[in-house]
Amino acid sequence: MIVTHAMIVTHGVSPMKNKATLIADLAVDLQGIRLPSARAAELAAEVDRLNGAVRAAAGQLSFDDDPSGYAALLAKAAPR
Amino acid sequence: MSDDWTSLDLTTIAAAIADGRTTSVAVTEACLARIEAWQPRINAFIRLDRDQALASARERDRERDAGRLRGRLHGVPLAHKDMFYRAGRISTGGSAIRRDWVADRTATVIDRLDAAGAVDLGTLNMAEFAAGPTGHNIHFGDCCNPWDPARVTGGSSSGSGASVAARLVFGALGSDTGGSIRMPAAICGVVGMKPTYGRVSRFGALPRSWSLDHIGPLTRSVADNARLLSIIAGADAADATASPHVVPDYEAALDQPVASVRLGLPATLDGVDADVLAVLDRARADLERLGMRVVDVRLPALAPLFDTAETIIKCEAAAMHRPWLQERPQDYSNQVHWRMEAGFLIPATQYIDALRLRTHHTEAFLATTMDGIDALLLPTMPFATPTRAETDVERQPGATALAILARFSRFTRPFNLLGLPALSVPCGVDGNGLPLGLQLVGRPFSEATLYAIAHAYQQATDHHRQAPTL
Repeated sequence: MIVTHAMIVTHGVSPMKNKATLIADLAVDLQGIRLPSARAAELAAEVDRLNGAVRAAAGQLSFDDDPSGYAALLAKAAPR
Repeated sequence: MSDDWTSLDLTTIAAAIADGRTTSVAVTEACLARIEAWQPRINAFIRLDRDQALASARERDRERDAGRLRGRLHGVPLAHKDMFYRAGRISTGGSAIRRDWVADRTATVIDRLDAAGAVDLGTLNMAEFAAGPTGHNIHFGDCCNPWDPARVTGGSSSGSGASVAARLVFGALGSDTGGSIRMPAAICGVVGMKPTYGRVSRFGALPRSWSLDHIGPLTRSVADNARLLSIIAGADAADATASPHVVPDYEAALDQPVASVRLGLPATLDGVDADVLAVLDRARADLERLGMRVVDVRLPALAPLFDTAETIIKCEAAAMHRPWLQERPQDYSNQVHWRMEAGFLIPATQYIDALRLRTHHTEAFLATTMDGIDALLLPTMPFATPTRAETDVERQPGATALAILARFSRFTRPFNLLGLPALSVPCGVDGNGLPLGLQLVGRPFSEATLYAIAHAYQQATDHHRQAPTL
């Protein structure tokens, strides 16, 4: 399924309701999961919060940031 | 047969077996008798391997009589959360899905305890798939707090906390992805260590979230804990994330001087109950009397750390559970299913960014909050231990129960993301007379320092010597 801007912004419908619909569509199309509308709304809020938090912090990431840098940091900070 | 052996701590009983004051069989029988008395009250065991334990104990005694001691746990009875695989034995993970699953490999930590001579009594209760902070389990029955069975044990290593507190075993392994060693340790009144990420091999342990899982011991004393960590820690060819960093002699470091130690305590702690703050103040005074200096520090906003950790856990859990969720969704409790469901809908780029952010969050934390201090002091739990009924989201779902659950890991989960070592030690009781825990957080691979501080504290206090009675 291609997600279009029109699917996210629909006149006269609340943004979170649109997100719940989007989440329900993504769940069934990408993962084969059918969600009741109430559950889709809960998940939309949860995914929105987590995505928002990571996106907000991601500004500090650079092109060269590699997840394995984490283990290297722990090793570097170990007592000698 | 004497039940008195169960009142001794691990290092004492190991010495008593080694020098012939008692036998492994006598100690194992004492543990089995105590388990028989306590199990109906607290449901700490999923499986008790009575015959095999006694056979192992007899073998250890024969070895000792022949002048051979396997190691520093020779003949000492232990039991572990039912998620550490032993080849040929069932490992349920606290789940219905793996109720009959027979492990095809043995966890590195189990191999190392075996090699040190431990006697394995059986497997301990836990939250389903290590996902739950309270100790509820709809498949095997709730594990109950030995101080008050109406109250939670904490989770997910519920049986580990309860069995060590009730003196059924001399030590137990747990796993910690958001506080699952430290919370039951604090709530049950025992010592729990979540080591640095990578300090202990995860090979052969049921995963909750590969990036955030930590394995560590729960024991009656800090000295006991240091012994178990010394044995299980270290590099492992079967787990590439296990660190090659040298494992210090934690027991030898217990008595290192602590008078020059600097501890950080946040000037303000939001969302913490008054009786917890009062106990924390007394612990601070006790530490200062030992010559340690306590300075004010500032905690960063914890919400970004929580959200980053949640993103990682949900995505990894969703990936590993996908086949079972598709084929056997009815075999999951609702709360376990719901907790990972968002992971199917978070974009891969967000998950990868969450992993990349760990380095930045950890660097910032070390450069700010941990700057100039040897350890950070925090409460392990921010509130008095609730009842099982008021936190039972499966049987009585509601906003109140969910709100309580959301507070459990406030001061534990951030250190799974940061990967820093964190030790919970008993430090007093709440208004209902249940134990509270003091959490010491250190720099990477500074477990020896945390043990030295906590050991000095235990030499000056007796919180860890309190035990529940039937």
